[in-house]
Amino acid sequence: MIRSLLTPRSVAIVGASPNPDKIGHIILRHLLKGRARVYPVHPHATRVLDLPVWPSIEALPEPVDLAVLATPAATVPELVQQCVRRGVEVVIPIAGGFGETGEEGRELERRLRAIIQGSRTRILGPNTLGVLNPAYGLDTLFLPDDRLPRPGAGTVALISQSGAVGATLLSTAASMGVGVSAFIGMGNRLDIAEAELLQALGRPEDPTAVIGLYLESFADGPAFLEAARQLAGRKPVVLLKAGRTATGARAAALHTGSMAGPDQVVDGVLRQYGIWRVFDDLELVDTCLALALAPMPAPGARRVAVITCAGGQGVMLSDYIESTTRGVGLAMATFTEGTRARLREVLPSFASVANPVDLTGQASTAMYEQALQVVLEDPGVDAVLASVVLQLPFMSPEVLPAVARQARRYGKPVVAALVGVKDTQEPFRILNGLGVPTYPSLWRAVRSLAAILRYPAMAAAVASPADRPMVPR
Amino acid sequence: MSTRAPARLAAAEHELKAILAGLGIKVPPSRLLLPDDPVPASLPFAFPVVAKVSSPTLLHKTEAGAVRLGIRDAAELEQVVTELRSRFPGDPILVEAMERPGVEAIVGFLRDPVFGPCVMVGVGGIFAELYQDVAFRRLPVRASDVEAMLDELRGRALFEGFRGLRASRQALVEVVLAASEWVLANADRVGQMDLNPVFVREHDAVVVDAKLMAPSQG
Repeated sequence: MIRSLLTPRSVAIVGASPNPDKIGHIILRHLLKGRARVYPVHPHATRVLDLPVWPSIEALPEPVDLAVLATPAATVPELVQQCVRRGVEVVIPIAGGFGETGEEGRELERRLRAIIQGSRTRILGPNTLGVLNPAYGLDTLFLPDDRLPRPGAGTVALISQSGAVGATLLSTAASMGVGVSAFIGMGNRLDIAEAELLQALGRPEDPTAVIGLYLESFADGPAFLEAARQLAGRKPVVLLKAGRTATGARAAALHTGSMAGPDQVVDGVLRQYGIWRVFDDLELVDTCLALALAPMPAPGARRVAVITCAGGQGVMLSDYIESTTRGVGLAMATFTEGTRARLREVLPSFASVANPVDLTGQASTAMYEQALQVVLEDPGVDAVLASVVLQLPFMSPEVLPAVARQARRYGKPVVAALVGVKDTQEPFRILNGLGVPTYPSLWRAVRSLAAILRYPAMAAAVASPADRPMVPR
Repeated sequence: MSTRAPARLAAAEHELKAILAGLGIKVPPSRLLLPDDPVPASLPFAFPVVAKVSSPTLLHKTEAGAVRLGIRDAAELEQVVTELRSRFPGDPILVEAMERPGVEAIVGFLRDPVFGPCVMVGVGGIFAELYQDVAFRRLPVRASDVEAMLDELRGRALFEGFRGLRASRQALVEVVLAASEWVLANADRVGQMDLNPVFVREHDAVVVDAKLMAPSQG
């Protein structure tokens, strides 16, 4: 399933209209940029975008791996029937008008389920944004690529139950230079759902390093938990679970019932199975980026060194790092006397050599790299928050590869913050491309660093030798 | 809140406590008085004692005036039992030893519509609902899961010697594990279960009150 979904050798696009405003036409245009053999299907058209058009799925010269249906809901059962007969592996009905609309739509979904029952054909959706695999050039999204920027290839897989949220995640990832191994819009989840996708993307040979999900409900809660548990510590699973305030139909006769808000149970259970929970779309992308790029530290690592070029940033960063109310409750590292002495040699006489290190407005590219190296060598430093002020007169863009060079050298997590920069994309692309998670906000950088430092302990608790079995008997 | 709620407990308190005792969970020493039993002149445990109406139709005993604490001697017990019997005719009365107090915990179980049977641990007693300081996990749980739940509580220090309070975290963990195992094995019978309060003391933990509801009502 996953191979046909993400790296199909052949794709049919049904509803490939010559009209450039039609969804089928837009998707065809995106598909043609990729590697799969593309078959436009349309009952009346003869040529579209200079390609011959096939009248039906059944008339195609080969049983395609993937069929994208860009036609209205009412036409979908018959088309899926044809896909089953022709041996198509995965079908993506894009259209809405199914279970989300009411009883008639649910009836359509029941019919679809019955049609694929016992066949090799699987359905993603319906009512879905589709899939994207930048490395392979597969793009079935109906949002035109000049309006919704696509992220490049990378190791973050994004799975979304909602198309609109999915588009937001993609757009955020693209603007920050976060590379994506796959985007999968699940839509109504008539067939393919999150647990199976987790298993597929979790295989060691899959390029995915981190899986981020947006869910409003669980298609199969226990199956999802079990799949996530298998990945704990290996490929982090990050979840934005919306619908937190939905009132459960839980009778509140006993204390336990009255105290078990639906979200509180979810919160504990996610932690139990090693799933990292986030609370908004930016945090989802930020955390996936952090966990995908940074080396995983030992459980319990919590001493952070801060390098800034401005006193104000140092004060704010210290608050964010140490405070347990509007901060992450980590520790500011204490430098050894040796570290302080070496910093004194590197920095201007009036700069601070304690943590946070303040290079002042005199900061230069060379000074920044030296300070970062000295701090990373301190055994009392578990991780570094590097705020780089690119606007300073002696800073050059060369500081970005220099930060990445030092980060790689010591194997300790380094997270960068670039705030108030003129170019809001290129520096982020550069540093993220070089493996340093980089953020346009001090708070987001700290929050992401906290995920890097805290995830290993959560994963270790899941994976630790069982003093009691966790598999239900 | 109706004291004789339409919802029914799946077991009277004395029945549930017998189950818990069978799991190795400590409950107060007790003597059950059926409606026609004479009030004993002496008990196998010391005064002061507690008398409670033990009935599956009484969801909120304290609010219904069906619990009497601090009964000092046999004469007072006789008087209390007579009065409770006049107000709750036909219900058994559970006479229990007054347990030495400890740090109060709540241990609860519920059936989550998505995840199935789950366990809750938190700060218990009369303030449990006020503070809502509880953590949840899905069953089954391991000792390390229960430890992690206790670590999540804002009031975790209560179980770690806060201001000289001596409470055995270990004993509480054992109550949770033993009850969890039973709930999982009887998942079709358990909608919700409250063990509240559990007195967590220096060397043990004792379940002072316990309620069980069947799944259809939970």
